[in-house]
Parts: sequence; C-alpha cells; structure tokens
Amino acid sequence: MKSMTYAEALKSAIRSEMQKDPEVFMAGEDISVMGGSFGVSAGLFAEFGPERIVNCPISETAIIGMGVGAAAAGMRPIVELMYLDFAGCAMDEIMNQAAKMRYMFGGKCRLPLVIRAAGGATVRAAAQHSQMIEGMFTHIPGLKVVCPSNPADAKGLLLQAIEDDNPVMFIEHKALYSMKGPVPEGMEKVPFGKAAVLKEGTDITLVAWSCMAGVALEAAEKLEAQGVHAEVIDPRTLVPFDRDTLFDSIRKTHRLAIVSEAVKTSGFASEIAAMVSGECLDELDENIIRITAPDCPVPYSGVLEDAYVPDSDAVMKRVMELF
Amino acid sequence: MGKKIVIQRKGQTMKEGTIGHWLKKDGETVKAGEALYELEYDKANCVIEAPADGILHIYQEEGSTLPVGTLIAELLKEGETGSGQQAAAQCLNGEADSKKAAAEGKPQAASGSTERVRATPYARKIARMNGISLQEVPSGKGKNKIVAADVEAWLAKKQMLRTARTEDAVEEKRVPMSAMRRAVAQNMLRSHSEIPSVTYFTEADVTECMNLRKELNEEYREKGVKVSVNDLVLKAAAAALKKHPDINVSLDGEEMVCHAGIHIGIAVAVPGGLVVPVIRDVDRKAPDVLAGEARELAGKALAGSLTGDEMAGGTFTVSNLGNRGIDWFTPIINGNQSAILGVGCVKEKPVVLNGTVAIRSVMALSLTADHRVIDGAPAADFLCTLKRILEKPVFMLI
Repeated sequence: MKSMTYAEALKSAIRSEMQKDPEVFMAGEDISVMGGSFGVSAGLFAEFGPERIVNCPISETAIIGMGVGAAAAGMRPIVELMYLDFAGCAMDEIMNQAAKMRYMFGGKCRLPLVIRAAGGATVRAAAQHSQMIEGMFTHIPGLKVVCPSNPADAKGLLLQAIEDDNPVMFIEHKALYSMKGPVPEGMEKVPFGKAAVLKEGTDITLVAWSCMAGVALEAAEKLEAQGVHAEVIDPRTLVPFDRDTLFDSIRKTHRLAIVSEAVKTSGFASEIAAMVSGECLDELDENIIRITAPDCPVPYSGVLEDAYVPDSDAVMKRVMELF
Repeated sequence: MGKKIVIQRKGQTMKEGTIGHWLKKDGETVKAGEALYELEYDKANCVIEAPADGILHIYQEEGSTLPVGTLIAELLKEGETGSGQQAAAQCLNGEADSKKAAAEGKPQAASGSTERVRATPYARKIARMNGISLQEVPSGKGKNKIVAADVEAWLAKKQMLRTARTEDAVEEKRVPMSAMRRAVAQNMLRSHSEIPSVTYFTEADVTECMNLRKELNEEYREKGVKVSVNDLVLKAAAAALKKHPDINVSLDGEEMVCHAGIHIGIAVAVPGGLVVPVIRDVDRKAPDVLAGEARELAGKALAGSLTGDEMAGGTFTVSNLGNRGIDWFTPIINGNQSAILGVGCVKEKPVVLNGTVAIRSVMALSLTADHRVIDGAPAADFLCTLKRILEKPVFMLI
C-alpha cells in the first residue's frame, strides 16, 4: 500500500499497463508536456514519448473516432475526453460506433477502448463543464460504465478497464483528483460488478457512487450520532451493476436512499429505484428516497453550486425524516 | 390458460368447504397428482390432488370456508397471469349454491368490501407471514401508514395477550367452530326445529341375544371377527324395519319416499364432534360381514378419512350410548330420515318371568320418530317388534 492521490492512482494504473503491454497508448488534448488538464498523465510523455502519449487537436469526434478505430484494429487505446460534458461532441462515436461495433460484427471484433472523462460539480466550472451524466451512458447497451470514488478503486478499476475487451466509459470526478488514500502498489484489479460496502448498518441503505460515496459516508457518520445506523454501498460500476449486494442490504435495513449528483429525472438513481421496486419491493418499509441535484443546469455561482450538489447535511436531514 | 382450482363437491349434501391446509406454497411448482390442499366439508376431511402441472397461485387463505365452486387457486405456466379472484363468479360449477350463499350474506370469493389499508410492502409481508390481517393492526404514531414496526408491535402485544390468557385459566376462550362442529350444529338445529318428533321408550330382555353373541364369537374366533352388542342391534333393527317398511321412509316435500334398501347410519363419536357413516343393506349382511364393516367405518371416522359417499344415503340411524352408561335419551333424527334408535346400556335386572323373579340382561331402547310420517301406533309396533327380535333373536331369521 502506498498513499497517493486519485490522479496519481489513475496514472499508476496507466503507467503499469503501458509498461506491460506495448499495444496500450494514450490520446487526448494537452496530455503530453502539460500532463493533462487534471495532471493525470504528468510525466508519462517523458517516459513513453509522442508515439504512445498522443496529443490531439481540439476535436472530440476525432479523438474518440481514432480511439474506436485503433481499438478495432487491435490496439488498447486510453482516450481522454477531458470534461465529461464534451461527450456531446463525440456522441456518435461513443453511442453508434464504440457501443455497437462488436454486436454488429457478430462478435468478430474486439473493442478494448477506455474513454476517460472528468465529470461532476463543486469546482466552479459552470453548466457546460460540471455535469454528471453517467446515467446517459448506462442507457446505451454495449458500454460499461465505471465511477470510482477513491484512489484505490480508481487504480484497480482502471487496470480492469484497460484489460477489458469492450468499451468502457471511465468517469472520474474533478473534486476527487486531489483525494489521498492508500493504494495497492501491484496490478491488483477491482472487478466490475462488485459493490463495496463502505460502512455496515441496520436501519437504512445509502447507495452512492463517485463523489457522492464520500458524501453518503459522511452523512452516515452524522446519522450515527442521531442513533440511525446507515449502511453505505458504493456500486463502483453502474454497468455491470451488483444487485446482490444491494438487495442483501435492503433485506437487512428495509429502507433505501440513493444519493446521486446527477439531476433527478431519468438519472441512474431512478434505475436503481426501479430495480429495487421491481425485484425487492416486499422488503421495503418506506418509500424509496432519491437525493439528487435539482432538474436544472449546474450554476456557476459558488453559493448556488454548493446548494445544487447534495451534501452530507442534506442527506442526513432527508434521511432523518424517516426516523 | 391455467387450470382453475375450485372448491369441489365431494358429497351430495356438500354446499361449502373449508381449506384446512395448503400443502403447497404460493408460487411453488406443482406436478399433477401431488397433494395440493386439505379440504374439510360436512363432517369429513380429504386431500385434494393437483389436476395438472403448473405454478400454484393461491387466492384463498387457509381456514376460509367457501361455497362449492369458488375459485381458490390456479395452476399457471411460467409467465402466465391468472384470472384471479374476479373470475371466481364465472367458474362456479354450483352457481345456485353461490347465489344462495350470497343471499345468506356468506363471504364470497370475489367480494372486495374491505377498505384497503395503507401499509408498506414489508409490513404486508410480515403480516402475511404471521397470518394476521392488516385491518387489525393499529398504525403507529405520526404516520399515515402501517410500517413493519407497527405489525411487529402488534404481534408482540398479541403474543403477550395469548400468554396472559393461558396463565390465567379462569378467563374464557373463544375458538372458531370447526367445519365438523358447524355441520353438526346446522344439521341438529334443522332437524330439531323442523321435525315434530316423539320419543318412545321400552326395555328388551336381551339375555338370549347375549348368549347368541357369545356363540357367534366362538364360531368366528378363527376368523378373528368379534360381533358387538351394537352389531346385533343393527341386525335386529334391520329385521324389524323389513317387517315395518312404514318406518324406513323419508319425507320429501309432499311425497313419502319408501326406501328400497335398509341402509343404517351408525353414530360415531370422534374428537371434536360426531360422524354418521352408513352401512348399506344391513338386512342382507351376515353378522361377521356387518361387524367387519362397522369396525372399518368407525376406524375411518376416527382417522377423519370418511368420504362423503360413505356418509350419504342412510335410511335409519342407530345411536348407542350404552357403553357410556346411559339408559334412555331422546336422540335427534339424522338427515332426511324419519326415525332414530337410541341404544342404552345392558344391565342385569330382576325380571318377572313365568311368575317368578329372575335376573336377566336388560337393554334400554329409545326410538325417536317424525310424527309427520310415523304416528304413535306404527312407531310403537316397530319398537315392539324390535324388542321381540332382541328377546328371541331366532326371529331375525323369519
């Protein structure tokens, strides 16, 4: 174990995979000498050179399109989209090419593509650079969707993503890049579809991923002081989703709150609520709660942005309404 | 289409049945021929088998008493949806029964009169698992719905009440009537309130009969057959009925039904009630055959395995309280019959015989007859013939 930041953990995974496999390369804007907008690739250009750390022009369509082609041709590209919001520009490459190719070629084509992107608010980046639209990608069959919430998972999940033969949307969070934590030094992967129980409890299950996992954990500690024992589950990957861990938890607590930074309507929180009411309804002793951002763009104003994103006090207050 | 399971008519008089126990769970996959549920009806129990393969969908709870033909469950294929309780009215094979039941205000399968209780799914699950109705659960403070904690609190309270009751034996207990108890109550009330009956008493000197029984049993020893006093009474009653066909009758509306056969019901006390299996053509059966049949039916009665047919078709009944030390009593006429014989105990008594007092075995006899069809004189004549046959059992032969 070594203490490092979320960004360093991601770099550690990329570096290990690039050392191990010459087919692995990185592409994106400002990733070479500058080391990427969030510093993830800092130092990699010096180590691997311009053939494997490929600086790209400002065209998300071109960057992702190149990644899809390279992956289909046998390489293992890691492409960096910078802001998750920019997926809008490259949506055809993601939705119609990357996600469909293996299916439409009757399984004859592998597509080991990792699309890394930074989502999320709280860094005063305004409405076009702050969205958590992870739910949109879960709506596209053919994509795996990964949302690490801490440095160890960031590394373990990225190792798994790079070695996966299918396209993976690897959604990082801007507010987490500087988060420090213990990270295994080897090539230990975190499997997809296996949730982490961050805290055990008996009274209510809180489900949260990415930045909200930490918010839920903090809220759970505040709830503990009020005598409510919350269990916190981080699914880590939304596709594939670990239903068993969630359902087992609900069978114990009989209450569910989903904490998500995305807007409320048609978010992945809604999918979890539907999943539980469809298969686990008998175990529920309260209405399912979704604690999300409101249905509006992320505000630029710091005061409004702080009010927009659920924080641990908001989570605690909403949960306490049940007790 | 799924296979509908309805309350089947098992005997001619069966109007409703009670689901004793479901032997398969809701949602369980069932094979044709497997035991599905226990049905209690009239005075009998039986096990109903699955008529087809399928997934069992239960619509009616254990303990529900429902008219014949009521839909209680369906056997469906994977993914098939059942017609549910709404279909109950359409698939009745005894529609008249259900209409009658409805007119009498009895519960109907399709009735939805109870108001829906607001409760969480988990609270419903706990209530369902513990067999309690959410209607009886008080909702918790400050909530407009019943949650699991409310159900658990109610269960705990009920448990406490139950424990308190068993500790304090003075308190009365309320137990719902079993299917059998209700059948007995219904039949007795109907008979007692509809039939103007008279009970006639006499005694018979059965000394010779007792000797005959001893001789018969010596004869039958190798066969392992034992003829009881009651078996001889049955034989004598059959012989007397043959001589007095005006007793072996039933009233059916404006008509008298003169029965062709002599089929005698024997009242058998069983735990929780009484059943009356019927022995057919008693007059044509040898004592050993009769004894064997009586034994078999009594055994089935105690085991609760009598079928409706084994209890149907009687034309006369014999009720014996002799082994319980009773002399005379006034039995109530059974079913649509017109007379019943009450047999008392056999006692040694001083009897005047040819001008001297002798110690003889004497049996108390009580005959209740329906005065609408049997007047005093024919009733007395029948009882005297029976007395004569019991006193001189050789008359059974002529």
